Amino acid sequence: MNVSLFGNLVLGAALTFCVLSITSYCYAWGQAKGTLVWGRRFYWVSTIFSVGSLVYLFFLFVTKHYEITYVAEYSSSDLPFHYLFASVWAGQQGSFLLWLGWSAILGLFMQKRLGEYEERGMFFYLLVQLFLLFILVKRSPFALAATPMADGRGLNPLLQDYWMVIHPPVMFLGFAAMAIPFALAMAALTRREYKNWVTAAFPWVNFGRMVLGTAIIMGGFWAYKVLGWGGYWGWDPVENASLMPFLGALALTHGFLIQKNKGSLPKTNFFLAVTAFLLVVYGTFLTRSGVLADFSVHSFVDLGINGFLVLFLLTFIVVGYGMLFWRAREIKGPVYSGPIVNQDFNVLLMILFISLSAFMVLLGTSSPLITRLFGQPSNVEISYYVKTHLPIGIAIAFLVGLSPYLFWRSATPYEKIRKALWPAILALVCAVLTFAVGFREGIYPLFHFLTFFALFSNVVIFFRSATSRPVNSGGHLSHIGVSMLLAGFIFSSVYSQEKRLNLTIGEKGEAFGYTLAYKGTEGDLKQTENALIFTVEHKGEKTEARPRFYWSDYSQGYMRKPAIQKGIMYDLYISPINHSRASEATSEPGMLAFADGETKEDAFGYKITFKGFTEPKMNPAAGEVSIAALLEVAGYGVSGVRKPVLTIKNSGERVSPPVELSNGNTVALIDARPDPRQVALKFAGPSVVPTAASQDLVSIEVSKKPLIILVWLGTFLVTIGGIISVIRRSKELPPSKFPIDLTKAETSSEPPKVLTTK
Amino acid sequence: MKARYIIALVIIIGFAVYGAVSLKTSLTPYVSFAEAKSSPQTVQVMGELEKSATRYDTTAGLLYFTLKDKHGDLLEVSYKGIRPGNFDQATQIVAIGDYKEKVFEADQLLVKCPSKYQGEEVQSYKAEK
Repeated sequence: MNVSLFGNLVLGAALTFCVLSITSYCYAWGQAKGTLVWGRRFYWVSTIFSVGSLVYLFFLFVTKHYEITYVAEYSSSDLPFHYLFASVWAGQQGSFLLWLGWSAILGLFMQKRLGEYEERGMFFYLLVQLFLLFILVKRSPFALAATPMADGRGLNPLLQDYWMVIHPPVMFLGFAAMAIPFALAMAALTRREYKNWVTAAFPWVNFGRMVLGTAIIMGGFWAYKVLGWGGYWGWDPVENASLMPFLGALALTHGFLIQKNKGSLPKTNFFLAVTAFLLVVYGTFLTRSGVLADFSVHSFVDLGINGFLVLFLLTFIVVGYGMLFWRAREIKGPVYSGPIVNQDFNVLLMILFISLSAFMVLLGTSSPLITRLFGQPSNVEISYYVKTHLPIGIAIAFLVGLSPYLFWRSATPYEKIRKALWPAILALVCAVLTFAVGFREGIYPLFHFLTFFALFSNVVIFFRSATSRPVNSGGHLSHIGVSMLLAGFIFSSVYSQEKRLNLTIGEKGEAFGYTLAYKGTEGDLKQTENALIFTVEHKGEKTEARPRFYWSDYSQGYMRKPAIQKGIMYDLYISPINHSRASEATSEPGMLAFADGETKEDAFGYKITFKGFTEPKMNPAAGEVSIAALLEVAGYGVSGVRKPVLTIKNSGERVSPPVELSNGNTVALIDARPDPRQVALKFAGPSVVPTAASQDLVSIEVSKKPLIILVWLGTFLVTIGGIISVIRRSKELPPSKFPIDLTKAETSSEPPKVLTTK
Repeated sequence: MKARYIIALVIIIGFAVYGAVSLKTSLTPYVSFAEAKSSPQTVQVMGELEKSATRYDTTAGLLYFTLKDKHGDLLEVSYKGIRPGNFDQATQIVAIGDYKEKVFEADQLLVKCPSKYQGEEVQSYKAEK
């Protein structure tokens, strides 16, 4: 049997059993409780086929089945084995399959501890897998290529990084997890039971939030390390598409806290659970339908699945919001009382600001679609996101800083202020110090103070709770992480400094107290290991930096990978920009090589700039082609443009007639190269004396990113805090029902155990 | 009780207004070359690359190139930064920026290239500050 057919059969089987499982759960939802066990059985089989198709796709990559379009498109025979994982999820279909695989696996864990939510919860949960399977069957990753190829195209060199091996799986794990709170919310709404679902959904919301947050920063770290533009976050639609559900999950985490403690916000939590999941689906639609093709970095191609994606989105909008709207009047929770400044109101404001952030991102990312309704589609500048998030960031820092003091409910206001005193003093000292050393941009000093205050306050409460009740310390640890993240974001972006250096071999340049000397290159431009070598000297310490610079046939362009010297106070980020090498012919007297746009101040007494080429002239009759270089010439009493011509005949013969400069000096075009544009010129005449100047010239950008380490450290703490929270909320779940007692489920007529809240 | 609602409402309304104003001022509409030349705000222009007119000023780190739109109008664009790797293969280039003294200063470029398998690929490049 051919591999394409086999793959499609596996997908088809997964779809079939998915439908069977949904149908069984649907019956079980009615009165036929006995079919519940069939729902589970079919779900297990469906999972095996779903995960199996992902494994099979990987197998096809390993066994180099280039007759499969998807395999040929994202791998080649010379690709190292470990990057084949990245190949599997490099394209659309593979990443849909990855999403499906995670969704199937998570379902197994979810299913066992749902209690009486099982049949309805699983019904709604499986709808997501159903849609994914429809898309995959329609656009199968196992499709055969129209014309089989001997070798694949290869993987985009930017994706050949171990972060791209692990970042997408983590991201899609988060996307898959966000369907669980949605499914449980739907189950709760259909059961008219508006309280206990929070207990069942809480660990999953924490899990989804933690995983998405980690995945987002992993992607940022990849961008920082590989792309070389110096940042980790660019407010690109693909990045925003992952940020929005994260913010939804984050708001929901805080909403659940209130509902668990006080019973308030039941409607808000339903809304947030539905919205967080819809943001996953909406993000998928934005980034995979091609609607933003003119506005984004990432290549979006319309696969012909737009109809499905729109249906996917509309179905869940109608089901989700429709159900909530229908039940809205019945859902009631207790109304607050008590002082304005209390823990719940603080958390409520936090939910508000997180939601505002999500809404601003949603609005900005959707702006091309919104403006299209009124005329010319317009995108927003990145400054929009920065502008709107500055006040939100300040408010969040303030609320995070306040939260520990509101947490001590028993303490009197006087005690609270006393507790806040030391962190406040310490934060003020730090803020003044940072101000004194030059970090003083606009309103940011206030932001610095608030983040320091949030950091110290949460460190204090974390150590108190970690020593008394470790399982409750997750939130505080996450807040420490968030404070660090905010500080890291501000310092590394607002106070980032850049400097450009142009160096020839042996030349030294200064940037931020560092002396950089260019030593030359290593290896061949066509090899990925080719690096520009610099020695970096700082306070007597000498190190070497090797930013990569190489030609990629895949991208048809030069690839640049920065060299990063990591430090605690700041990173030194060395990004290659341009490298021009003269042709070998320069040893001949009078020869000079010019890079594109290059100006030489003293080319045998002339100032000469190479401005580009004229349009090549073809002369098919004579079998020759001519091109002229545009030179701006000044010196020795001339100023103007010279156009020396190079004619290449079919026979390979080259003709370079000299062009008059002045005083009997001439210039001729000996060699011309298109990419990167460069020319070799031969000067002749009385002024020409040989020079031994080196022509190997590099341009680099050196930048200093203060405290960027806090971004990675903060993420680490937020993730650990998230894991602690997941553990805490999992302990509140009903006990595991596995191994399933099949006989009991089939014969039992009594209702399953009721979930309880504490 | 009431005070809470008022505080929350004030924050929401305040942000709605602030957000709307920020959005309106940061929108970068797609415009024609003629409009780009007269527009004071940041805009996006799209055109084909006039390959012969590209040059790179190494000392200033500026890339100069000319775009030609579907009416045949020309616009010279400057871009501070790396010459995008796939620049010469570009079928279309989107430049985002504003027009200053006879040249369109791009803050960001989107370079569309033909791709063997997927029709077209888009890559984005941001200018240095």
